[in-house]
Amino acid sequence: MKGEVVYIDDEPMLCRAFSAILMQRGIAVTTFTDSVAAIAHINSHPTALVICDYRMPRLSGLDVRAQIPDDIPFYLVSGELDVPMREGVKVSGILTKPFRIERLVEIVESHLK
Amino acid sequence: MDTAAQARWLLDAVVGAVPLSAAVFDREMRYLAHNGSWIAAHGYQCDGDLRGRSHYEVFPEITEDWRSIHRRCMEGSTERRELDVFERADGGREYLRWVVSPWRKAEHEIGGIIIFVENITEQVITQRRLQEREALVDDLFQKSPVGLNLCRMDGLWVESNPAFLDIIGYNREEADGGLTYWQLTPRKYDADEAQQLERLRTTHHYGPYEKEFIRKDGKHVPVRLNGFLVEREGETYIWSLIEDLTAQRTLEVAVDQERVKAIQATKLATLGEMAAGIAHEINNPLGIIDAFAFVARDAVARGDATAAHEALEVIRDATERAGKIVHGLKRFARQSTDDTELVDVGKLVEDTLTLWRTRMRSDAAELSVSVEQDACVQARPVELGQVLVNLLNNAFDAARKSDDRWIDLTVAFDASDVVISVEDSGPPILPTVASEMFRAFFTTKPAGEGTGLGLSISREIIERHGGSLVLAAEVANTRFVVRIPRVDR
Repeated sequence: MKGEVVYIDDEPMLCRAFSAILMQRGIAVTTFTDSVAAIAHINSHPTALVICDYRMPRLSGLDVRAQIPDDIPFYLVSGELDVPMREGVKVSGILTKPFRIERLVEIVESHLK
Repeated sequence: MDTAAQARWLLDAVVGAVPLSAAVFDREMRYLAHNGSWIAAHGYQCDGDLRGRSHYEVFPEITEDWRSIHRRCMEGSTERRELDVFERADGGREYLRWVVSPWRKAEHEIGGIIIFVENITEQVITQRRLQEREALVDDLFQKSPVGLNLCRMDGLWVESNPAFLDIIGYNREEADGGLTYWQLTPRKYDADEAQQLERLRTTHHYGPYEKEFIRKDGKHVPVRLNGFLVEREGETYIWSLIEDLTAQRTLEVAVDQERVKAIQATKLATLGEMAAGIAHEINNPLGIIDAFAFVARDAVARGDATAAHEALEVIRDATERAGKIVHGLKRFARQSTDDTELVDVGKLVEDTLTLWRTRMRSDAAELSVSVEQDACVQARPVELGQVLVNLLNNAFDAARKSDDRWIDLTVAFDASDVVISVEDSGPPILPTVASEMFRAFFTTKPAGEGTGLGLSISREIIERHGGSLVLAAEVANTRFVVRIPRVDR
């Protein structure tokens, strides 16, 4: 699978941890704390996989999903008590917080094989 | 004038001058003299002179009772009746006092009788009315649920009704045995008492005045007094009306407890609305802790002590961050007590925002906070925090609907008050909404998003702190202003 892995979370420390962990495994990841900047990037760069937090300033995770090509695998990370899914918006999976970081690593690795 | 003529003239003059109905008869019950009042009393219509005529011919309806009285008196007896009821032909009733007695000639032979009749109907009726009135007043005094007490200016009790004795728990003998107003009044009311007495002197009445009486059993009973001055036989007294406020106070306490429950319930509802944000804000540090534990393990595995150390520091920061949320939560959710404490409003705002910011992340709204240091109030911090959260939540919901999305929170103070103002970029509140919004259960938010209690409870809380919560007029956006009396640190 071609393209980069994109991780979007308004929590900078999570972006930092995730990119450090994947780096150790030889996987490059591009992180964004701002969803609008992330959409612009995804739509102009080949993207293999998007992992995106649901609750963010400006545009939510579901807004991001709606504004990028449907064929890019998209995982939604959510700490909500109820994930407010929207009709017609498809995601590859939902990770509910709190979760072990291994789950994210597994998802990335499974998509890059 | 001969002697006989002079005697008759004298008789007529005397009988005519008597202020009663009077008539003098000879042995055959013929009139020798009578006055005008006699004729009027008998309802007799004539030229007014009955002399020489027989009483029984003029008044054939004279009863046998009267005829026998006349006979007995002709024999020498004197009869009188202090109260005699006379049923009039028209159905009315008259009350009479009369005396019948014989008169004697020079040689002591009985010459006839003299009758005096006094119509005392008016006096009798007046007296009955007085008695009825007295019974009524006495009944009122005995049965009144309001305590009544008459005391001298020096405080010595003269009269007390059962309701009053009931309030103070003494029996009548004890109360009449020299109890004084002062014995039953706690010393702390001395200054108030002096003030009420002064009012009494200048305006002749006092009250409504709320104080306590010390009951015989030592308990203090809350009462409301009203009173006025009366003159009785040249001396001045004070009439006091005493209401027992115990039941009312119990009710007030119950209402107060209900109010505290309502505040707690609203707070929990607000907390429920904020739960998603709080969960998110706790989850993030948890995620960071887990991720950096993983990073630290990687670093330890490859012998990178610096990276491991750095990761562990991040973990500690994240722990602290989660701890702050929990602290804010505890502070907000705990049951408010009745005790006030010195509260630094700036510090309270900081604590409240730690919790409240959890809401801000999902939707952008720029929050700017400006706090003037050392703005202190005497307050219940939990309740004040609740008001802040309510106002911020409202501001947030309004700002979200606007284009530029901002909230301004300022804390400042002037000579008398600490002023907290929360302004948002939302549209101004419609006058129809503004007039209703402080009412309980009024809300413009969609179902499930607001309890409709926020502003009503907030205003109640602030007013209980002796302050005010208002919507600022003449502001382009929406600004709520809280004022609470300021205290020095």
